[in-house]
Amino acid sequence: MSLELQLLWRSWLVRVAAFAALAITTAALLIGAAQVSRIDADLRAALEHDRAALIDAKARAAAAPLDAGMFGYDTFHAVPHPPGPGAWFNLGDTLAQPAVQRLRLLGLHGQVHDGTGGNPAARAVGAFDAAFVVAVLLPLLAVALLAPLAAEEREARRDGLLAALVASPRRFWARRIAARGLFVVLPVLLPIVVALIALDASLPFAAGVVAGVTLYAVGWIALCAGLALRWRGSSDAVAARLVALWALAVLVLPALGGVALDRPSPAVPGSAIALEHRDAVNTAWDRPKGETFDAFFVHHPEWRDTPPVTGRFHWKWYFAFHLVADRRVAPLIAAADDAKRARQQARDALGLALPTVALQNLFDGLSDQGIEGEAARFQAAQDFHDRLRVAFYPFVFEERPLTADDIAALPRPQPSARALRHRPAAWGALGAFALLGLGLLWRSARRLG
Amino acid sequence: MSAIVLVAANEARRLWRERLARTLGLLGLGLMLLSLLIGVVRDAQTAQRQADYAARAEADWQAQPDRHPHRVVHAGDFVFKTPGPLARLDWGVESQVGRSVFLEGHRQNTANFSDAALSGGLLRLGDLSPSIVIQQWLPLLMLLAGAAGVAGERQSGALAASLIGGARGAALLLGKAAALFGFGLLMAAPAALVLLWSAVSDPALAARALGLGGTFAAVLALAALGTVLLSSMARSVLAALLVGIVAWFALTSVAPRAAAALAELMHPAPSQAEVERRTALALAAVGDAHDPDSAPFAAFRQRVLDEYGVDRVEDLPVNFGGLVMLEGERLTTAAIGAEVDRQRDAWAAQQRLVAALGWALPTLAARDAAQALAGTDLAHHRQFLDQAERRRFATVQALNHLHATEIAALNDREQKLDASRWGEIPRPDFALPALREAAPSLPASLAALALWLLLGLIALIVVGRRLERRA
Repeated sequence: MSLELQLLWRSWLVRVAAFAALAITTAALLIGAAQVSRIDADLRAALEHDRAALIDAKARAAAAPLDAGMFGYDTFHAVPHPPGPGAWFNLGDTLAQPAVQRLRLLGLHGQVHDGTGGNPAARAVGAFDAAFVVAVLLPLLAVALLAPLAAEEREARRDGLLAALVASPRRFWARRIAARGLFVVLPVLLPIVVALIALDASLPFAAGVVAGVTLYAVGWIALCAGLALRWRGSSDAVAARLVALWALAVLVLPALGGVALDRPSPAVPGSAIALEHRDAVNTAWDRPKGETFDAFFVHHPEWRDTPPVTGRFHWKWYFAFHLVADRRVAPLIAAADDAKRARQQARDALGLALPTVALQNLFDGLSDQGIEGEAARFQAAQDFHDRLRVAFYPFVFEERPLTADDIAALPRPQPSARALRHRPAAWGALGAFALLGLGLLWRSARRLG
Repeated sequence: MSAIVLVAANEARRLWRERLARTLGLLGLGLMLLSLLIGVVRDAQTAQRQADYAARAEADWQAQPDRHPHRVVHAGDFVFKTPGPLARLDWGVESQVGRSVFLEGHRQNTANFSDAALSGGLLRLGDLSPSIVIQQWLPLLMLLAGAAGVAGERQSGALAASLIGGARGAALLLGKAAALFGFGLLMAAPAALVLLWSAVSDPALAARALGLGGTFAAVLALAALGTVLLSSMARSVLAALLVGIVAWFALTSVAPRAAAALAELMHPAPSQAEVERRTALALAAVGDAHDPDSAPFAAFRQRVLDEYGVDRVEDLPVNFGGLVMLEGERLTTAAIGAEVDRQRDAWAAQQRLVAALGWALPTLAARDAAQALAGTDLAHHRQFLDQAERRRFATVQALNHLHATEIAALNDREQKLDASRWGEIPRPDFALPALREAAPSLPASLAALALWLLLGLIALIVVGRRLERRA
């Protein structure tokens, strides 16, 4: 084995490939970590400003109690959506979403969809993170190092000699493939392991990443080795075919799958939600106020016995029709969530055919990207908004001013609950891929013997 | 010259006869057709969907009942972003940008609901637009088909034979590059037809289509030059192939991502929360125009009184509340614009950095040029946002003007204007900006591509001469 490793190390091509992979992986990890710490800093600054604004509001209310309706209309609260666990490894949607959602007492769906993450042009290119390196570069490395596996020997006319000299061809090839496999895995995995330790990743996350990378690598190494042993052409012909396979399986088909999955389960266009919500708010101004309150009391019967609004404007009516508008778009939101879930299922299914998709699903689960991470963001906003509304209703319905103590007692936003999510379908798909690769390799090796 | 044609014809024959090259060519053609299908359908569907929403918003606007003009300011208006003029060929940032903007008084809202936000992460797997096929996939197929072009002849001894037989090295390499370029053009031919169709169906797009076609051709020519150069310098076909793939991967996959990430880290843009917070501070400094008697508007009041030569606002021939709305909107729009621009300027600086890296990495220059020409880059998106903001301001000020002139100051809020008035409010549609305006980095990117083409040609001739000397 060590002899095999020494032989490989002598090839400048192998050395260049290993160092390049090591450098690219390290760069991806550093950039990922820098992006996450930039977001963390933005988030801390936003929360700090939020706290300062609250202290300022309390001081103003201490001087003279504030009008609760005006305060609710004017005051924004920062709901944090911190990067998911190990986002430095797999940035996912981290940079596409705002890390802080600023909400006020108005309709949730008129504001929760507001805001942007970072530069859309950078999002369109795709993230440069370790997950990308593993998904794309690692199999390319396997192709480059394993394509010449058998053809090289044929070209050097050593194949006959090998067949005559080697007692157990299967053990010989196993050693050789293992040595090359190490040169594929280690340059990518070593920096990742260092980062997992240095950045204090949780054990389940670290174990998930290492296991995912290993399964994916075993699958690709075995697949490339199996095909390299089986195909009879010259080393460059084998390499060209493997590269074509890599391009299709890793980049073209996943991209095609992504585009194709947009068709059968179209998400509810956001514009429909925006138009509907706005229409609900606008028509409320022109409709009799009783209509709004009838709809509102369905959700909050406890305020049914409060006096009706006879004047042109009252805050309780204003906030009531914002809630009614939220409830009116609820079916659209539910339909959009269903569509997203259907897409996630389609992605799971696509992962069974395309290991790269399965790997992305797996990593997205580990670092809470994709639909669960997004749902956590909405849930945090929804929870806070609900608590804030309910806390404010006594003030606007009973026309009580807001004192400093009242402001101190208002609910505070909780960060979205980000956690490692298990994706059994992705594990199954990756396990099957590794086993299939090994099976192919086994059969190819048998034909040699 | 005739030598080059001869070599090119020979090389073309080799490619045609080789099963690998034929397979790769069919694969490339298939990808090209598929991506065009995706591009044309996606563009048409998105445009249709946006047009439907625009029609609905238009109907909502016209169907407004009798209202106080300031109520209409708050009821607001929507604009919907249709894809860039040649989005069918290069989807650019279209998946990532919000497709609708809500326009209302006193605020500048963000563009919301990008396709990516609604997809749940799928789009991160990459895109398959015709432009990406040409910039990324056809060069790979050309590399796979052409890596053996010179290195294979060297291994078999044919190269030495032709050189000793009197062939010029430079002509040999140029001929092989020309054949490989032809191979690439053949695969890209369907995209050229779509470009032609786009230019014919809308002559205003002819310059953009021509530029995009030129960019695509430059990319394929660079791929051909690079492949032949590698093939003639490498020790073996395998080495040419592997080095070529590493270079291709670094240039087409790693470079754009790494450049974008570096640009974000080097020109940090204020976060959305920061923009909103600073905007709120700026607005507080302007004051609330809903309260015309408030302190921030005292100086304005005096100015108006002086201008009309009266002592009390009640004596003004116009509604002072409406004048304050006009003034307040002018001030808040400028204050908000300054804060919003800080973020957009930072993004533009990031894009300038990426485009400047195109001088070193031609794939970045090609990307930048293609998106700019297709009208789907960040600069065009900003044009959309800026125009939406100008439209918002025009609409709101027209309504404020009605407020000042047609609503009496007494019992201001109880009055309404006839619904027929909403039709006369200016709400201009998005106008495609001239390339000069929307794509300031385009000349530099095209120049970088041209420079790389020139460098490639020179390198090829130099390497070709060296081949002769060695033979």
